[in-house]
Amino acid sequence: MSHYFSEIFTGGKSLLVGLGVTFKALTSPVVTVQYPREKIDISPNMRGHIDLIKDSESKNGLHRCISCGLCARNCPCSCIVVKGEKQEGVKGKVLKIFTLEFSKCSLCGLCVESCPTSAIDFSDEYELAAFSREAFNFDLLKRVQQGDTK
Amino acid sequence: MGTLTTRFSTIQDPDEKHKFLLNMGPQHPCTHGVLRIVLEMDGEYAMGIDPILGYGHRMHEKMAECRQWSGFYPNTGRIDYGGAIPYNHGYCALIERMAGIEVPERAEYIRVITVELNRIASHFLGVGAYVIDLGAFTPILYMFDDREDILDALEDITGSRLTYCHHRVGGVSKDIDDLFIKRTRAIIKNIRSRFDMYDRLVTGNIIFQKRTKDVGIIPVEMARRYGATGPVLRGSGLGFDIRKNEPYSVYPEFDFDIPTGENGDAFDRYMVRMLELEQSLRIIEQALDKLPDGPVMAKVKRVKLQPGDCSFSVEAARGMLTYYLVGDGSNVPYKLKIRVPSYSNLSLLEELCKGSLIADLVSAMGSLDLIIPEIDR
Amino acid sequence: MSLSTELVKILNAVEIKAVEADYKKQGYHVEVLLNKDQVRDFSKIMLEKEFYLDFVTAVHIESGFQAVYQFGHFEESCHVNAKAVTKDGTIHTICDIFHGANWHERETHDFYGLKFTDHPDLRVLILDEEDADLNPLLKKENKLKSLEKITRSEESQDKPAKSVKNKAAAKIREKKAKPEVKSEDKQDDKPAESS
Ligand code: SF4
Ligand code: SF4
Repeated sequence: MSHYFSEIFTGGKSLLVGLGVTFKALTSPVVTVQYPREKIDISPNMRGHIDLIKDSESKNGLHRCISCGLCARNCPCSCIVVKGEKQEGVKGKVLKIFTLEFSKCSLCGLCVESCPTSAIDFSDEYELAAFSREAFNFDLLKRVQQGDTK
Repeated sequence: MGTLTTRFSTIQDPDEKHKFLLNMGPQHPCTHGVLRIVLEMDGEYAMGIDPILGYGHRMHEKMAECRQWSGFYPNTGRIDYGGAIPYNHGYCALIERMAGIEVPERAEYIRVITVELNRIASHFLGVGAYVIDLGAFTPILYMFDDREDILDALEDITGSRLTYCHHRVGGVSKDIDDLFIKRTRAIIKNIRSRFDMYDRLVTGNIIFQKRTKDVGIIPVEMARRYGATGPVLRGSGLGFDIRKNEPYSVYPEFDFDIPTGENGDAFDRYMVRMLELEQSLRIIEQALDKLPDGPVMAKVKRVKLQPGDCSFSVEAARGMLTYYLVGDGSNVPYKLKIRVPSYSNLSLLEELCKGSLIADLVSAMGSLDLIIPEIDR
Repeated sequence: MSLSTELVKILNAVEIKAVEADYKKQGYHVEVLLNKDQVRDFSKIMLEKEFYLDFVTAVHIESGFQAVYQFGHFEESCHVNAKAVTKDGTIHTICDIFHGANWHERETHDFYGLKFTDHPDLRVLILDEEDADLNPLLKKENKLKSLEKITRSEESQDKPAKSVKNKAAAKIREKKAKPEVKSEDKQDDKPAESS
């Protein structure tokens, strides 16, 4: 019988100890953030979708890509398409098509690492939601031409 | 999808009329993912247990055979979403062993730091979810608070929060900086200061103890027959850990213990995980102290997978993870086998829980800390 | 005497081919080459010596299958890798000796269609029942290799190395001649481009 009561006692005590922890948290500062009204700073190293870096000092005044296609070849998900063209009077190739099918991308970073001229980098966009797959077919060349990149 | 036949056909024997079949999952909260278990119940007791796998099957092993070895990096982060970095590590180390590549020391230290941070995050996830299974909702919020700090720190160097792809053959993709070191030290201090709170909140709770002590006892001999590893085995009192048994990377340079339990019940497995947190913190601390300077990436020329086989085992958060690769001289693996710890850990469930109450089954299964996509691959 | 040396002696005494392997290169300590009918005797010895089962799998080769068994030890650092070639697609089960093999064998049966005779319950485990005959890991005729091509040997280590060089050189020449790079025509046998 005494065992029965002592068990009730220890059980009640352990509950109170646990509740004590919860009550202490009641008075501690708030840690939650009211997204989307409030946003926290994200790490600059976060991997968003890839983007061509804008570089006005490069040869074509826009980006450093030399259309070598290494990024497309190294991508395990085959989501990059790069096409360059020879043009009169310009050394090397001129980038004509650079698209990314982001819905397939696994954000592994192999493309960024393989680029010989460091022409691409991860963007810091994370609010990407859409109703169709096609919305994730990004034309990166157009983005850099329009100045949408960082 | 066709009808899935189970081992138990419908019960027709008139003497067995009181028995019935119960379908647990694939959406049951305690199965942590999509695992379906067909139970043959006799009243409240589970007399037959038949797990049905494959709801999250993605055939990673076939994907490995269809692309260059380097194309498998992102897959390694998606097998076990709870603790992905050990999977990165194992795969890179396997290719390095096959091609005989030396990794710079700093890179090895960074690997160890990230792996251990990920192990802590994974244990918080596993323990928090386990306590939820047993009906206590509060602890997981505190644990996720701590886990959040770790994820933030890891995001800073790996760029992702869950499906990491950070390690590379020959090193790591990104170096760590002073900010990360400072931040990690703060995290270590913070987590240490909270151990006492977890003791009061979970370990000392009488309900928790009653639901876990003497539930799901795994003897060492049973673990051996099934090949169970990780905290599941260590809870039974055998201090097997690949980090000590077959040391890889720079683990021999650190001083850490392998916590073990005594009875092999669910409570011991929980305790082993909580004690492992402290050991992981110790490893990270030592690694940060000793962190050498230098490059983080070796020069890697084109790697060909030589004919022949090769295996590499690492200690993932849930037990021993083995990659087994057969090469054929090209750069596409001829075969890649991934031995995941949860697979063997789950296979002992039937023997473990036969004839136990269904409430104990939930408790025992939660203490195995399963990640179902890892089992299904 | 270390466990691996001892094990090699024991296995050789019962006419099972076993050699000590180079752990640094292969990742296991003992390599065992079994006949198809030695599998059970071998696993009984492994259980006696307190090994645990790491995994069971198979490799699809030209002449059939190579079943692969890997064992480890809880107290000592000793991994054992055993291979048995089966030409007719059947091999005896070991799941009554190592109970953990049950699921590994069911999985191998799913993926390769390899039949484990006397297995108590060879239902599909991971695949859907409708796909029970799919056997996704079977290779196509043109991708199949013979056992020699995927086994480690002194000559085979030299030869591909040479051909690699030639191949790589040919690739470079090819590239120079044809600078157009298409991302669509991904081929399996392209050399890895490491950054
Ligand atoms: S991050 Fe990886 S998957 Fe995404 S585009 Fe680059 S290489 Fe392809
Ligand atoms: S690797 Fe760099 S330079 Fe080459 S195509 Fe890709 S972005 Fe352009």
